[in-house]
Amino acid sequence: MARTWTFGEKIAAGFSLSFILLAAVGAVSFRGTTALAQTSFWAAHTHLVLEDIAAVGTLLRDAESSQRGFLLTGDEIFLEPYLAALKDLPKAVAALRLRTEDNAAQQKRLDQLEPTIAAKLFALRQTVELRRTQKTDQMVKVLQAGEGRALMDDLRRVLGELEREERGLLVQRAAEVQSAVTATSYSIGLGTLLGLLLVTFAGLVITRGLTRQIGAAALHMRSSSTELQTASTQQATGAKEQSSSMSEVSTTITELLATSRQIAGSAQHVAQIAEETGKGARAGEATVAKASDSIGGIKRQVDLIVTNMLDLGRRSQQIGGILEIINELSEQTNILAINATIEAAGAGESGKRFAVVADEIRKLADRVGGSTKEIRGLIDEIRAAVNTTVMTTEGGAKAVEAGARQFTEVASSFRQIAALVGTTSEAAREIELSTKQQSTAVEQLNVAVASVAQVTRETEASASQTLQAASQLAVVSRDLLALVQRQPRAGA
Amino acid sequence: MSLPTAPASAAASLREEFDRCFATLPVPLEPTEELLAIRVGGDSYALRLREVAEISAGHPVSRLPSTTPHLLGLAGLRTHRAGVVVPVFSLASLLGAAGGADAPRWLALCDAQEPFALAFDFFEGHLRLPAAALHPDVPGAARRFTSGLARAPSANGGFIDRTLINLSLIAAALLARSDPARRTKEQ
Repeated sequence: MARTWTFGEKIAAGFSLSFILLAAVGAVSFRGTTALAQTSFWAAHTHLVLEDIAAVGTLLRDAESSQRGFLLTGDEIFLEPYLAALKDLPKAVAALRLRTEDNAAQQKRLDQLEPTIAAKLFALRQTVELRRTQKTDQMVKVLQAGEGRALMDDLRRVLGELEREERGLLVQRAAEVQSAVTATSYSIGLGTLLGLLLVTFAGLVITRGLTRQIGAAALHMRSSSTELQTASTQQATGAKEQSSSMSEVSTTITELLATSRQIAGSAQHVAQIAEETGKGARAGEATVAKASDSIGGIKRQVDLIVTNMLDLGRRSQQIGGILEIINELSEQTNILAINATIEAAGAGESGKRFAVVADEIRKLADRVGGSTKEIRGLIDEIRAAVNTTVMTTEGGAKAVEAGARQFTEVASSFRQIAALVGTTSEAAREIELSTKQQSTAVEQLNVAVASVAQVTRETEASASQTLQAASQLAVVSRDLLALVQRQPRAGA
Repeated sequence: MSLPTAPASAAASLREEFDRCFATLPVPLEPTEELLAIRVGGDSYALRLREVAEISAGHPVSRLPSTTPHLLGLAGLRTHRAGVVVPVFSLASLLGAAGGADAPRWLALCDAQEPFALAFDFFEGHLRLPAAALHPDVPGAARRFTSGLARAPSANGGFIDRTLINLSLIAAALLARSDPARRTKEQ
């Protein structure tokens, strides 16, 4: 995947390339200029050497012409140039030697030149001294010998060689200067051209890339700014709604606070009631314990009643047995009476009174039999009643036992109630405490909600500012797009 | 719950009544007939007292294997005289009454030529009725061993008709039936 270059990278790459090229061109130019300067220096040096050579020649000629003038006139005034030459020539030769110390051939020539100059100057002095001493003949002889002219010729020849050498060097150095100038010019021109081309290319590439990317970015920014406008509008609306909701929340929290205070009061009331209920449950437990004792007494009484009733049943059964005997006796008496009546009837007149007695006995037996029947019925009723009573009493005893058990359960329930009421009381106190804490928390919450409401109003204000900024951003993006694309767009 | 009359006062009234009957003179007797009211197989009957020698209840009857009709067994009776052993016949069987008890509790001794005892279910009491209360057989009544009706007051204040058993007829019939055997025995 091709790497996407950032603006900075692109610009840095373009500038770096241009910089490298400029540095190369600069380096080449510097080197050429340095070489040119060197070559020019040497050319100037050559000119100086030529001037030095010319100065030496001039001084020699001045000294010779001055000598001639003196020789001719004998006037000391003509000797001034000669004297000056005598003083300056060693300096000029020394300067020449110093200036040409890089050239061995010239030094060699100077080595030839210096003795010759000394010899010439000696010759000149010799003639000058002879003139001063008026030894004209000797002087003429010396002059005619031609030594001075020969020395002068040698000097001219050597000076000419020196000059030729320097001229040759001058020509050579001029050519070198030309060459360096040409190279430098070429390199500068080519480098400048290359630099121009490169800068143009980089500029084109960067401009095109920037135009494309910045245009896309500007378009994107425009759509984003539109979205941001919408979002900030929504945010403003939301902030307004949130602000109104916060007002409602604040109202609700105030109500909640009132409610929680009411709950705290109710919890306190509940705790009091639970305490009273606990007292009532403990009292109820004591009452139930007493009632349970009473039930135990009733149970004992009922057991006694059952025992007595069973005893009564047994006694009534015994009475029944006795009654059976009585019935049997009455029946037997009846039979005896009837049989006695029969016997009395058989006894005739004398048995009539006996028959009356027997009849009465029979009647008595009948009555006894009837009474025993009645008593039997009564005893049967008593036994049935006793049985019913025993069964009822046993049922009652069972009911009493069940009641006692239920009383135990009731007592247990009362204990549980007391324990639960204790728990309830504790819970109610905890509720009260928690509700008070809750009230405090709700108050803090109310403060926090007020802060939030403030923040929401600020958010609303900042959303308006954001909307404004988004509008400005849209304008900026449109302007930027116009700047980048140079074509006005409809709706841009 | 209380007795119709308290037992103490009932006993006192009984004693008083018993004593009074001996204190007062006997009323002039009008012709009366003394009867024994019994129950056989659910029907009400009456025996003439003068035809009965003795009654007893719960007397043991020794059963005998016999082909003689109506015979239940033998019983020793007449405890107030020298004891005799008499045959015991079922009155219900003789009268042809249905629903008689298997072992009747009551016995009535008939002091006939050949004494015998009749067993019946239940003894209801002793009756003394004026002669006018007795009615001879209505014509067309075809019952054996009976002779008319006795109209007796009932417990609920009304009257109840009891069939009069003729013990003489029964004795005669039993004697007639046992005579051939006796004759055979005497020979």
